[in-house]
This record gives sequence, structure tokens and C-alpha cells, in this order.
Amino acid sequence: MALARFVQDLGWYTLCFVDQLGKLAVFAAQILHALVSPPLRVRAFVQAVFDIGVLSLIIICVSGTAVGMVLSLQGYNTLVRFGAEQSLGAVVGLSLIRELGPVLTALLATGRAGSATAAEIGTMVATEQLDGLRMMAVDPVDLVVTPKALAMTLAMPLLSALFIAFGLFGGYLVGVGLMGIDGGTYVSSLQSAVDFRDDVVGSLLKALVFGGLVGLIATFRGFTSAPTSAGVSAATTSTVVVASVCILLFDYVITALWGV
Amino acid sequence: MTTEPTSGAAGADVHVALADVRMAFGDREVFRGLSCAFPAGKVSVILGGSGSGKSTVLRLIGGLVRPQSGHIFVAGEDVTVLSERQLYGVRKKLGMMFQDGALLDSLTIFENLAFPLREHTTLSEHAIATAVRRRLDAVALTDVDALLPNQLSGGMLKRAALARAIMRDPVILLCDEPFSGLDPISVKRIESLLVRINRRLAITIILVSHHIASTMRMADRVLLLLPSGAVAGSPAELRRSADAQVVGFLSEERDGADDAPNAAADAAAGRI
Ligand SMILES: Nc1ncnc2c1ncn2[C@@H]1O[C@H](COP(=O)(O)OP(=O)(O)OP(=O)(O)O)[C@@H](O)[C@H]1O
Ligand SMILES: [Mg+2]
Repeated sequence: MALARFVQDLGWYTLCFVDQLGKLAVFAAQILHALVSPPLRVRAFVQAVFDIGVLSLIIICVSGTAVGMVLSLQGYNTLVRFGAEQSLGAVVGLSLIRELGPVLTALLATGRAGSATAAEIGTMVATEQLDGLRMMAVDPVDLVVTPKALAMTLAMPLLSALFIAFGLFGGYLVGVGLMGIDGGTYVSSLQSAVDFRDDVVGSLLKALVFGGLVGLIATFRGFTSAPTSAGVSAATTSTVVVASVCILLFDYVITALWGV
Repeated sequence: MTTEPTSGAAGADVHVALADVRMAFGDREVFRGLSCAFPAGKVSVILGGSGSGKSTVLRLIGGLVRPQSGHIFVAGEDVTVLSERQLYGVRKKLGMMFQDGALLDSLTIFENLAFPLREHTTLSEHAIATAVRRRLDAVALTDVDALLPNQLSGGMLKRAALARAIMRDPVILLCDEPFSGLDPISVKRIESLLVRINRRLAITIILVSHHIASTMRMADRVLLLLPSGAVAGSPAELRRSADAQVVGFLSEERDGADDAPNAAADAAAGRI
């Protein structure tokens, strides 16, 4: 009996999941269509870049520095056991660039900007603003959704690069300033370990994929939220949860496939 | 593609018509087989209790929700079979004032009113400013240009929403409760504004109202949504009706909606 019910529920949730996935694909196609068809919403895009990018600057800089510092501390303590503390620059640099920069930036941006995007669009649904746009023969996907999704996608590599730069700086502070490694050694080990094409470009591409993912999920959740305050809050929460899990899953897939 | 039904509208051209519409949200049925017609160039008023589906009729006409079955003809096109993209063509002829305004809350009132013009015309900034000023004057709003929608009172918001709905001189104007929450003077003012644009520009106006007195004054045709079904007719016909429900509705609402016209209101209406 309980088993039958379990199978039933499982089937139901699977159907819901596939249904949502299909809707998400249609939604993504609408965004792509709006992207290539006029009018170009330059003003809305610039505003969205400001909301998503500029307002995330402080949290990205502070977190980047803190992560770089702790990475350097942990790395030093481990490396010193093997007498390999001269490679600290390489360890901090590679882990930041290949892994922590894009992933942590995406997670931070999800909490800071993804949730805000979902809440904003969800509120516009609840207060009939999107229906108002439709009645004025303006496509809300074109005016509201696309600029935000695009801004999220393009801002993510920039934010990630910033995160990495501050992380390297934080690592330098601790490694050189606190642990007494030679500054030249730190930088040269970093320089020789990091390959531009493999590591840096790969890292930026990873961040770009995460940006697209967060942008798509946040706008989709907001756009399809129930027109109530509970609906908006559910959309916000599920944006953070779904986007975070997707980032970590995609991170593995990308690393396995592309080797970054 | 479609043939326009001509039933029900006492001789006049039919601009908007619902034919045997069944509408349900989930298993909550709002209409079962609703048919009605709104004549061109006339003022039609939809009356009915709260939750009787008045707003839903307007949303059906705008194509914002689709019925389970039946057809809805707007300016000769069946909006139930059009794609979202094709609907935008029909909606360019419509102006809709939502029950709660639905103004964009990140834009000022001026930007909100200028928005439809910026989207669909290539007017100069000066021409846009002039057009906005004219509509704001018409609904008697002053000094609100730079305010955000959440800085307006409910009644001011209604008037701003009405102003936005008429920005592009629609062929069909849909208004959801333009009078609720307004003082008697503003009611008179909006009423005479609506009648004036209807007479001067021959716009088809479909409005939802709880205001029996103003309805009886301005309506050419009334659609009364009752639990047992819809009743349509001219105000005079409805008043003569022997149907107990119709009589009950009209008399009850008349007691409820107290808008005894006073000298000040008449004077205000005379000025615009
Ligand atoms: N999105 C929706 N989901 C579910 N039910 C809905 C939805 N919209 C409307 N309804 C239901 O449809 C019925 C009609 O709603 P509608 O908003 O058209 O009423 P109304 O006549 O405009 O009422 P009011 O005078 O209070 O504005 C109501 O019973 C409402 O519960
Ligand atoms: Mg309503």
C-alpha cells in the first residue's frame, strides 16, 4: 500500500519535473527570440547590469578577499609539511581560478541578485504589471525578462574575475605578509602554474554558463510565480535553492567534460 | 477566418462579442455558456456582485485568459484562436484600465503615461509631454508627474491608470471599476470624461462598475451578471424587468451606492 503510494508520488513528481523542464525550455527559447528581434532594450539592460553587477560589487570583493586569505592559510599549513610552501601561489591561484572563483561568485550572485530578480518579476506578476504590459501590446519577456537574464549572464564572468583578483590579493596578504613567503616566489609560482587558455578562459566560460543558468532560473521562477505574496516568496526561495543546486551539478559536469 | 455574430445588440454594429463562453479556473466555474455583445461606439456597463466575473470578462476580451470553450470576437477577430504574437495586433486597438491600476511601479507617473507612446510611436519628446499633460488634465491630476505610483492615493492611481489607458486613443476602452474609491466630484468628472470621449471619438467603452446611479445615466447597454446567468438590455429595459433577481440587484445597489449629485459635483463636471 505504502509502496504503491510511493510509486504514485514518484510518478507524479517526475511528471511535474518534466513539465517544468519543458516550460523552462520554451521560456529560454522566448528569451533567445527576444534577444535577436528588435527593439533592443539598451536602457533596461544597463539598468539591469547596474542592479545585478554594480550592487554586487562589495559582497564580491569582501568575499573574494576572505576566501583568498583562508585558502592561503590552509594551503600554507598543508604545504609546509612537505616543504613545498614556495608553490603557495600556484595552489591559491589554481583553486581560485579553476574552481572557487566561478562557483562561489555564482552562489553569492544567486543570493544577492538572483533572489532579487525573482522577487521583482514575481511582484510585477502579482500586481498585474505584466498583464498591463501585455494589454499595451508590449511583450514582458522582451521588456522585463530578457534584459535581466542577459545582464546576469554577462555580469557573472566579470564578477568572477573580480572575485579571483581579490582572492589572489588576499592570498598574497596572508602568504607574504603573515607567513613570510617571498613575494617574488608567490607571484612567479602563480605565473608559471596558470595557463591562460586552459585556466583563465575556461574559468570565464564556466562563469558565463553559471550566469546564464542563474539568469534563466531567476527570471523563470519570477515569471511563473503565483500572483500572491506567498507565491512571490516561494519563487524567491526556490530560485536560491534550485539555482544553487544547479550550479554545483553543472560545475561537476563542466569540469568532467571540459577539464576546467 | 471568422464571421461576426450580430446577435443581441439592438441593431447597432457589434464591436465585441462573447459566444457561448465557458470559463473555469481549475474546477471553479465562473461562466457556463455566456453570450453577450457590446455595440460599437456605445457605452456598455457590466454590473454584478463581487466575484461574479466582471473583471474576468474584461480579461477574456483582452486575451489575458483563455476560455475553456466558446469564442470571443474583438473588432472582427476571434481572440480565442490567436497566438500571443497575433494578439498584440488586436491589443493595439484596446486600452485597458485595470482594477488596481497596474502601473509600472519603477517608473514615474509621467514615464508610465509616456510609455505606450514611446513603445508604439515615434513622437518627439515635446509631443509626448504635451500628450501626457492633456490626459492628466482630463483626469484632473496635477503635480504628479515626478511621483511614483506608490506615492499616489487609490483614487489618484485609478485616474492615472485611466489616463494611461486612453494615451493612444484606443478603439475599444475597457475600464475595471473606474469609479470605486473616488469622491463624488471625481466620479462626476470621470463619468463626463468617459461620455465625452465616447461621443467625440466614437470609442466603444466597456466598463465594470458598482455605481448604479452613474451606470443608469451613462450606459447605452447594461450586462448584469447574476448567479443564474447573464441579463442584458438597455438601462430602461432593465428597470422595467420583472425578474426578481434583477429588481433585487438594482434596488439593493441603489441603496448601497450613495452618490446623490450635489451642486459642487455638477459645477466641477461643468468645468471640464
Ligand atoms: N486567477 C484566478 N485563479 C482562480 N480563480 C480566479 C482567478 N481569477 C478570478 N478567479 C475567480 O473567478 C471569479 C470571478 O473573479 P473576478 O475577478 O472576475 O470577479 P469580479 O466580478 O471582478 O469581482 P470584484 O467586483 O470583487 O472585482 C471569482 O470567484 C474568483 O474567485
Ligand atoms: Mg473585479
